[in-house]
Amino acid sequence: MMRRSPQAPNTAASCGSIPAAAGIGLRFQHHREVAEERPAIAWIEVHSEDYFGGGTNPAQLDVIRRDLPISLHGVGLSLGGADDLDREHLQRVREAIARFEPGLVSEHLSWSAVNGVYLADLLPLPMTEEALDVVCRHMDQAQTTLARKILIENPSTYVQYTHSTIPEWEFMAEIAARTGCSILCDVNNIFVSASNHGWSAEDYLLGLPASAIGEIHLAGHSVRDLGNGRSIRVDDHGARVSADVWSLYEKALKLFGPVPTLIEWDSNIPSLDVLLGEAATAQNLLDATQSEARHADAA
Amino acid sequence: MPTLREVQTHFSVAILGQPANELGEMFIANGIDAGARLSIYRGTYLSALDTALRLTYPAVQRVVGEEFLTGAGRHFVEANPPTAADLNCYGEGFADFLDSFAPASSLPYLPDLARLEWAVSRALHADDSEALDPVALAAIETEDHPRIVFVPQPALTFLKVSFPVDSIWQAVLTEDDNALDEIAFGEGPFFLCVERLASGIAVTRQDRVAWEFAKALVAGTTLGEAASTLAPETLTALMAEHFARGRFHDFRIEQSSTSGDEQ
Repeated sequence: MMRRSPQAPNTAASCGSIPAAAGIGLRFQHHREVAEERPAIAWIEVHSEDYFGGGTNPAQLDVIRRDLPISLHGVGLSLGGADDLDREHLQRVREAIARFEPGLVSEHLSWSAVNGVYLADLLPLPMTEEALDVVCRHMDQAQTTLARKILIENPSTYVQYTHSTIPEWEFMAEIAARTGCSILCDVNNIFVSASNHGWSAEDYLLGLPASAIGEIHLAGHSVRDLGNGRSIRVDDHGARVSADVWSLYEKALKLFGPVPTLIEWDSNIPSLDVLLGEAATAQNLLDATQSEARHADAA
Repeated sequence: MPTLREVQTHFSVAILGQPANELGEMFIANGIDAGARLSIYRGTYLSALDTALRLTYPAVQRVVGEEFLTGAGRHFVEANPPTAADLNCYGEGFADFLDSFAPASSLPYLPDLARLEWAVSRALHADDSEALDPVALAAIETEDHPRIVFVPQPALTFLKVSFPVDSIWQAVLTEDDNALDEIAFGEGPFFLCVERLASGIAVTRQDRVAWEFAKALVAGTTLGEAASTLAPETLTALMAEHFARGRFHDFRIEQSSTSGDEQ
């Protein structure tokens, strides 16, 4: 049933206006600093929902994006929901795209609402044929309404369903194959889910179609102690990227080539300098990958 | 095999805090029970809505403290789960909830403070919208003026409250204890206008006549009916203020209800 794309390295230097370089997730705390001090950063990503409507925050983003390529990352579309997509929400995303002209637009492999109630989280889907059909139908609808290709991000999860029949990486690959969407490969999410469920993170990366990878996310996570020697990794975006995740990122770059890479930080948000430092680490690894690619071409 | 909707319905029941025993059999145990796994998702849900309420009600939080707001918020969230993903729009009705929330009864002004903060939040996040240029009205025949109906700016709210919460709001958010001590209670009701100007959010106190006229206009009453008891010079002054502050987005001429029948 599964179609596999060849593991070709991603030769594109950039996606839209987003360069294959390190960017940061911009949160309100850093708006003023980014707008006034223009830190050396290649691009920024914001949560689409934070800029619905009018007023000060969208106006500040209008200013910031004059000099910085921007990516819109949605957290509320509920692509995997059994409910129909919220048309008003989709229309809001469309308006945000028209206003901010992002280089990339992304969403998640998850669901967030059912029976009309929004559950304010990126919730795990059973990996079934039914869920795959639902996600692909919604992805088609979203890409048609938004009149552009979007990226879908792999989730971090704390449960596995007993009735799942498709490995998550195959599920991701199949969505890309069926809908033509790109993949936002969240390396931290792969590490978190692989640790929680006993998967091989390397096999997960190998299972993704390299040519479909349009962006990489990196973030910190925590380990929650559940007592009796049990623990679970929680994707809280509240710390520096862990050494294990940096290591997995290097493997991802070897497979996918240089890809726009984002540092995300959403809880206990640190000073901008810390975020820029994390981005600089990612940039060094991207530079090394680009350098290797050049050497390989020359050889 | 459960359907996707069945899975999601059971999952939502658990996140909303009710027992969902069916879910336990749907998860691979792997040494960790379903309750521990689900508590992570429920924690995220509660935390996101707690944050949303704190952002919308900062002055209420300063008055009652973080812990109290989280506790009150938990009760509110239980009865009012969000229906849309834009959490900037979450928290409507929190003031009415506080009206009947017994632990808050010692602070009778708290619901009105929340009413003001909801209006401020709406003003902050409302869609951008062009202000009506009064020149557009020049083409309207004088005899048609009474039938003008204005479309208000989406960021505009006219609010009547029993307590001087505009002064409380200002003093609390600027942490001005002296101003807080000097606030005179018991003179209500108070008539407030909340709007978004180029300079930021403005909360101004109005007299009853000005407020009732404005409230009627934004509710869609014709200019003639809203102004029926106003002296001409008062009407001129009030309209000048409305236009100066760009409170209207558009207008239309109400068609006479009888003219259509006669034709």
